[in-house]
Amino acid sequence: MKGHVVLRYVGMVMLLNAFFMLVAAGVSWFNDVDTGFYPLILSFVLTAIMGGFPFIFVTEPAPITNKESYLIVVSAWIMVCLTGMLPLLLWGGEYDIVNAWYESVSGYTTTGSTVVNDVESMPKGILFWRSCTHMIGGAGIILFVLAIVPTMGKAKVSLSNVELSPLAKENYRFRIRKTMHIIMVVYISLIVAETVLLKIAGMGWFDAVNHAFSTIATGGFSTRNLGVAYFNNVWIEMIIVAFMIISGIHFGVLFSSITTKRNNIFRSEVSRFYLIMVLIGSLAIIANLWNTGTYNFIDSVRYGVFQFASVVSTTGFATANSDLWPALSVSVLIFGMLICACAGSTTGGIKSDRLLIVLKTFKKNLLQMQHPYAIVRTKLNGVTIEDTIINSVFVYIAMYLSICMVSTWLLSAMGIDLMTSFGASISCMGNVGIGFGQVNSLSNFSVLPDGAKLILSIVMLMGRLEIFGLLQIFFMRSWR
Amino acid sequence: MGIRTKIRLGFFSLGLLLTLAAVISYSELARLNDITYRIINEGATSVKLSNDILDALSREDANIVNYFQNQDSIGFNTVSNEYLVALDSVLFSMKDSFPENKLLDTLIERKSAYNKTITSFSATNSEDKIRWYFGVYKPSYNKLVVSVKNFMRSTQDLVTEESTNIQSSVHRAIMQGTASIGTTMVLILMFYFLIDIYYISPTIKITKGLKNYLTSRIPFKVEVTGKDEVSMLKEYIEQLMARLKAKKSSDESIRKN
Repeated sequence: MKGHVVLRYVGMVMLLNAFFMLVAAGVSWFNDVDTGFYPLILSFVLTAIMGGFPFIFVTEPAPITNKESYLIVVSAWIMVCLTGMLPLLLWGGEYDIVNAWYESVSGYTTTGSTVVNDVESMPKGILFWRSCTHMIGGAGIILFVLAIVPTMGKAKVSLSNVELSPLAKENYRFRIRKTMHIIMVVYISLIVAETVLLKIAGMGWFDAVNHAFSTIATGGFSTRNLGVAYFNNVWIEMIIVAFMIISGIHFGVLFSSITTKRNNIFRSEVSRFYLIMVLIGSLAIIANLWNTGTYNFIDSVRYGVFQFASVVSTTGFATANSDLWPALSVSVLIFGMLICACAGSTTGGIKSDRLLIVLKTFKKNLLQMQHPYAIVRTKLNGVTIEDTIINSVFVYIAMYLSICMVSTWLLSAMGIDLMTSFGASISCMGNVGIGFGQVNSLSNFSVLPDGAKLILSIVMLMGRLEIFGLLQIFFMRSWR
Repeated sequence: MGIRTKIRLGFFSLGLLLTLAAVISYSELARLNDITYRIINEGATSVKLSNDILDALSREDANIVNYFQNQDSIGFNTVSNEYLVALDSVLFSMKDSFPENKLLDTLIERKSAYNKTITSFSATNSEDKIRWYFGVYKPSYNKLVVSVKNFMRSTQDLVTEESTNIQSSVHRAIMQGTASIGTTMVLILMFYFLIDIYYISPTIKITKGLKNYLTSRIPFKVEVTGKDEVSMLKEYIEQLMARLKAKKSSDESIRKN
C-alpha cells in the first residue's frame, strides 16, 4: 500500500479545509477583527502547512487501489475533523478539547448537535466557520476536492466510488466527473437561492447565509440560541421547510427535474415515496397535536410540519419542544429520524431507498410464498435490484439498529436516562442533531458527560460514512 | 525538485512551526505579564495614595478640633492651608497615575467642595463653630472620605475585570502553543515517513542490489519511488552495469576471434 500517496490526497483535503478557515478569518476581519480572527488565522497556517507538506515529496498524482481509496476517505474525514476543531479550541470559551472535537465532528457529519449553551456570544468568524463545516461535510469532503481539482485520472473514480454509496450513485446517468459537477451545481444553487429568499423574508445577510449552509447541508447549526424559533417568522419557517424537504431528494433527480429530463422527481419511485412519507408523517403529527389540544390548528400545522420535515431531512432545526408532544407524534418523529430521506442527498439515516427495497423484498417474498415456482424480482425505478444489494441493505439496517442499541446501552451505563440515551443515539447515528429528554429539540448536548460525547462522535462518523466506510479500516489486514 | 530542496523545505516547515509556537507563547506570556504587573502596580499605587489622602484628611480634622479647643494665635486659614496643599499634592499624583478612572472626577469634585467648606469658614463664637463643624464641615469630610474609599475599591475591582483577560491570555498561551507543537509532532512523523520511503529505503535497496550483484551475480533490479537524485543514481548504476556487460561481451568475442 502506498502510504505516501494516501498522505498526498489527505493533504489535498486539508488544504481545502484551510481555504475555508481563511474565508472565515476574512469574515472576522470584516467584523472589526473580532476575537475569532487570530484563532482562525493560526488554524489556517497550521492546517495549510500540514496539508501542503506531503506535496513537497509526493509531487505527482498516482493511481490508487480500492484499499487506498477507503483509507484516504476515512483518514481525510478524521484529519478534517481534527483540524476543524482547531479554531474552536484556540478561541476557547465553552470549547475544551472534548467539546471542540464533538462540535467539529457534528459540523462535518452535518449532525448539527451543539455543546454550546450561548451560541450568540461567539464571534461571527467562529459562527461562520461552524457553518462552513456543514457546507464542506454536506457535499462530502472528498467530493468537494474531486470537483475542484482538475484531472486526477482513475483516482477520481476510485475515491468517488467510496464517498458515494451504491444507492447514491443510482440516478446519475453520467460519467463521474459530470456527476460531481452536478452535485456541486445543485448544492451551490440551492444555497444561493435559499440565502436570497431568507433575506427577503427578513433575516440579515449573515444569518441567512449561515442558515442556508445549514439547511442545504441538512446540518442544523444556527447562529441563534433558540435556533429558527428565535426569528418567530412564518415566512422564514416556510422557506426553511421547503428547502429542507428539497435537500432530502437525490441531487441527480433534482438536476434532471430542473433540466426537464425524463428522470425527474415525479418519475423517481424513491422521491415519490419520500414525499408521500413526509406528507403522511406531517398529517399524522398535525392531527395528533390538534386532537390532543397541544396546539390550535394553525400552530399544529406550523410546528408539526416544520418538526417532521426537520427530522426526516436530518437537519435538526426546531421551533418547538417536541419532547412535550404526545406519544404518537414523538413516535412518528422517531420513525422519521431512523428512516430519513433519499440516498444521493445530504441527509443521513437508513434512507428511504433502503426502506423501499425492504418493502418490495417483503412483497416479493410474499408472492414467492404464494407462487413457489414463479420468478419474482425486486425492482426499483424499473431496474432489477440484485440479491447482493438486497442482502447488503438488510445487513446495513441490522448494523445500523445494532449500533444505535449499543450506543444507548453505553450512554445508559454512564447514568444517562433511557429517553436521552436513545434519543441521542439515533439522532447522532442518523446525523439528525436533536433528540429527546435532556437533549430535546430546544436544548443542546452540553449536559452529557465527556465520555458520552466521545462515543456519540464515533457514532456520528459511522452514520456519515455509512458504517462500512469507517469499519473497513479495522479489517485492512484481511484485504489483500 | 532535488533532494536538497525537499529536505530544506521539510526542515523549514518544522522550524517555522516551532518558531510560531515560541512566538505565540512568548507574546501571550508577555501580555499576561503586562496585565499582572499593571494590576499589582495600580493596586499598590491606589492603596498608597488613598491612604495618604485619608491620612491628610484625618490630620486636618484633628487639627481643626485642636484649633477650636485651643484657640491658637495662628489663624484658621493658616492651619488648614498646610493640609489642603498636602491633599492637593496627593490628588495630583492620583490623576497622573489613573487618568482614565471615572471615580476620580467625583473625588475631585468633592475635594473642591471640601476646599470651599474650609476656606469659607467664618464662625466667631463657640456655638457657630460647633454648628459649622457638625453641620457643614463633617458632611463634606465624610463625602470626601467615602469617595476616597470608593476609588480604592475600584482598583480592586480591576482585578475581577481583568481576570477574564488573564484567563483568555493563559488559554491562548497554552492552547495556541500546544496546537503549534502538536502540528510540529505530526509533521515530524510525516517527515520521517516520507524520508524513509523516498531516501532511506531506496538507498538500502540499491546497496542490497549492488551487493547481490557483486557477490551472487543476481541481476540488479531495484524499484525506486520518486524522480530525484536517488532515482537518477539507480538509473546510472543500471547504465553502468549495462556498459560493463557490453564491454565484457565485446572483450570475450575479441578473445574468441
